[in-house]
Order: sequence, then structure tokens, then C-alpha cells
Amino acid sequence: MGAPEARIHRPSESTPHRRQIRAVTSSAPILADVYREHIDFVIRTTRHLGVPESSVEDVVHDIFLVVHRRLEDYDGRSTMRSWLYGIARRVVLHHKRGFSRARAREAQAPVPPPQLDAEETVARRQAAETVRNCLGMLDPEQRMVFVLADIEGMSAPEIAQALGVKLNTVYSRLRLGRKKFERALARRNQADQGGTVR
Amino acid sequence: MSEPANQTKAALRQYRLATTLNDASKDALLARVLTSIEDGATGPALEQDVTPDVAQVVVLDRWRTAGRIAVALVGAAAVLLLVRVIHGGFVAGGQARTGRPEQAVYGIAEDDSGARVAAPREAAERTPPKPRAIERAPVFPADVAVPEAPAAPSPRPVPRAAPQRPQPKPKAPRAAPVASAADSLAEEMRMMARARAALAAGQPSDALAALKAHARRYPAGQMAEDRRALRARSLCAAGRNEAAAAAARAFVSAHPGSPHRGKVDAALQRAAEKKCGAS
Repeated sequence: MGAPEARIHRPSESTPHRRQIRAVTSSAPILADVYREHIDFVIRTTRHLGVPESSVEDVVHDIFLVVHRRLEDYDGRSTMRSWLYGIARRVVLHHKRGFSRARAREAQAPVPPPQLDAEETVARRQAAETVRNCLGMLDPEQRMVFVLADIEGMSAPEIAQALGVKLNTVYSRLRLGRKKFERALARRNQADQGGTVR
Repeated sequence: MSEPANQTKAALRQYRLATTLNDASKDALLARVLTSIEDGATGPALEQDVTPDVAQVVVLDRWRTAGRIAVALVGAAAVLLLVRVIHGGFVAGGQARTGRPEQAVYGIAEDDSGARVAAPREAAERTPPKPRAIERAPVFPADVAVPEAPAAPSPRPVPRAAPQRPQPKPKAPRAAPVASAADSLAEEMRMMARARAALAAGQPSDALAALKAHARRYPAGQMAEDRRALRARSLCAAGRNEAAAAAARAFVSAHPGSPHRGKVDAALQRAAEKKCGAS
């Protein structure tokens, strides 16, 4: 178990091993726990907030610096994910001010650019691509609610808190978003199966 | 009916997996974060006070309201002006006859200011209680949010000041329903946070106690899914592998397709490995 060295390497120099991380994180166990628990959510949310692929890791990095800074302010009045969403939103906003206008607008485009694992199957890639395209059919507000509910598994009250909108608004956007999404998906599947229906 | 729903579910699951980083990259990123923290980095300075989402909604609202007031103002002024001009024409005509034409001009000016007083009230009435406006937000999504955002260092409440008057109106109805739902949710989340913190601190028995308390108080609460997932993971952490496996089964059957599933599976696997390693 004994970790050989407590120092961690710069990730650009080498891929750090889990054991090394564990050794370091003993000094910051809470942040590391939040990270492990929510990293997928934060990465996806960063994408869904329109951060271009090349900046995703930088933005996520900054998000967790803020999380570290603010962690003791977290009072449990919102869920961790709602809280993280708020931080992610603000950090993304901060970064967007750095992007040029045009690029920021480009980044607003609904489609999070592909970032694919090497071992990913073609099928998964295609399915993900299809979802991306279908998400593009939704209005931005519907899309964010849909994404938080059906992709991230957040409850409606949790989403209401994260977005600062009424619960009923969440439900109505979700209903519309789901309907649109399913219709778009069905249309694509029909097209993929070579159906003549347009 | 259920087939498209299943298709959707399957597609979303693939998407979920495809849109995160692989484990090595995640570890590398965590290492980078921790290195930055050790180097004293604190991350970008952000606004403290308002949650940005609310801020954005409020901004949209404000712009909407401002737009409405402007329209109402112009409209009301124009109507009154028109009426006055017609009236004034008569009056002026009459007065011209009596030799006091300046009275008519004065009348217009007075009504103009009168319109200004009346307009905000009308604008407030016309402001719908529900800001359905947001539905059309794509017209200026980021562009509006960004100027409002200028961070802490330069507190310029300039765009804020103008449309502030009607602000409380649309805000009040929005706050109420969220708050009522949020009350019990907040309590549920506190309990979950306790459980999560205990689990993180390596006190799975405390976590289980917190989860039990939640189960008693909110058996079908908003956080039931989280609770079942956390329970399975806490049992793993406590080394009660069989109970953990049972809890995991219960969790999966209650919430098939839950995004927590990956974490539960990983915890089970880790627990199993630990046992192998120990023996």
C-alpha cells in the first residue's frame, strides 16, 4: 500500500497513478471525494454549457479550484450537483469573456463536440452522435432541463434549484424537451433504417 | 409507446458514457487540480452574491420589462398626444379665437409629462406574472448574460438601475413555489449530505444511520434514488458485501438506468477486490 512518493507529477509529464493520487488526496480528502463523485457530471455540464472541446479540461480544472475555495461554504441547502452547476455556470461565464465573441457564439451551438475514448465502440460513437444531433433540435432552456433530468438523473426540484426557475417551469420544459427529443430520435432511427418516410 | 422510450434510454446511456473523459484523463485532471492548489491557485474570481442562473433570468426579465416599459411609454405618450392634438386642435382653435394660443401648446407639454407618470403603472399591469419571455431567450442568450456578469472588482450597477422599479413584481410569484418544494428538498439534501460526508470520511456506519433516518422520514422522497445508491456504496465501504449486493439489486430494480449505477457497480467491484486482496 505504501505510496512511494507523495509528490505528484505534472500530468503533462506522465499519467499519474491512482495510488499517488490517493497519497496526495489524504491532505484534501473532501475535494477529492467531490471530484470522484461528480467529475462526470461536471465534465458533461461544462460541455453542455457550450465550452469548446479544447477548453473543457481547463474549465473543469478551474471549476474544481473554485470548489476547493468554496467547499466550506457549501451548506447543504442545495444538492451538491445544484451547487456544482452554479459554480460551473459562473466559471464558464468567466471563461467565455475570454473567448472572442464569435467563438463564444460558436460555443453556444448546441452540439458538444465529440471527445471519444480510444476503446469506444463505433456503435457508441454513433449513438452519442445521434443524441448530440437530437439535442440540437431542442431550445436551449428545454435542452438544459432535459440534459440535467434525463442524462444526469437530477430530480425536478434539484433542477429548479440549479437553474433558479420554478418547479412548474422545469416540468413543462422537460415535457416539451422529451417530446421533441423522442420525435427527433425516432425520425433519425427511421432514416437510419433506410425507411422511405422522410 | 414504450419502445421509443427504451430507445431514448439506450441512446442516452451511450451518450453519457461517450461524453466524459476516460479514467486516466480524469485522474490526470485531478492531479493537476491538486497541484494547482498546492501551488496556491484559487481559481477565477466570480460574483459572490446571486446564483448566475437566477441572475440570467433576472437580466432577461429586466430587459423584457425595460422593453415593455419603453413600448408602453411611447404608446401611451403617442395616444395621449394624438388625443390631445385632436382636442388641442379644437381647443387651440377655440383659443385662437379667444386669442390665447399658447395655452394649447402648454397643454400638450403637460399631458406629455402626465403620460410619463401613467406609463409605468400601465407597464406593470401589462407585465405578465409569469416571465414566459424566457422561452424566447435564444434571441439574446449569452449576450445578455455576459454583460451583466462583470465580476466582483467593478461593481457597476448601471444596467441594473434603470428597470429596477417593476422588478419585485415578476420576482415574487417565482420565488414562492420553488421555496415550498425546496423546503423539504433542502432537508432531504442535508440528510444526504450528512451521509455522503460520513461515507467520504470513512465512517460508513454513520452514513448508514443517516440514510436510515432519511428512509424513515422520506420513504419515497426526491432523493430516494440517491439514498439507495449511497446505501449500497456505504455497505460496500463497511465491508458488508452481501448486504451491499442485495442493496445494489434493490437499487437497480427500483431505478433501472440510473446514472448512479456506475458508481454502485464500481463500489461493489472494489469491495470484492478488497476481500480477495485481504484473504
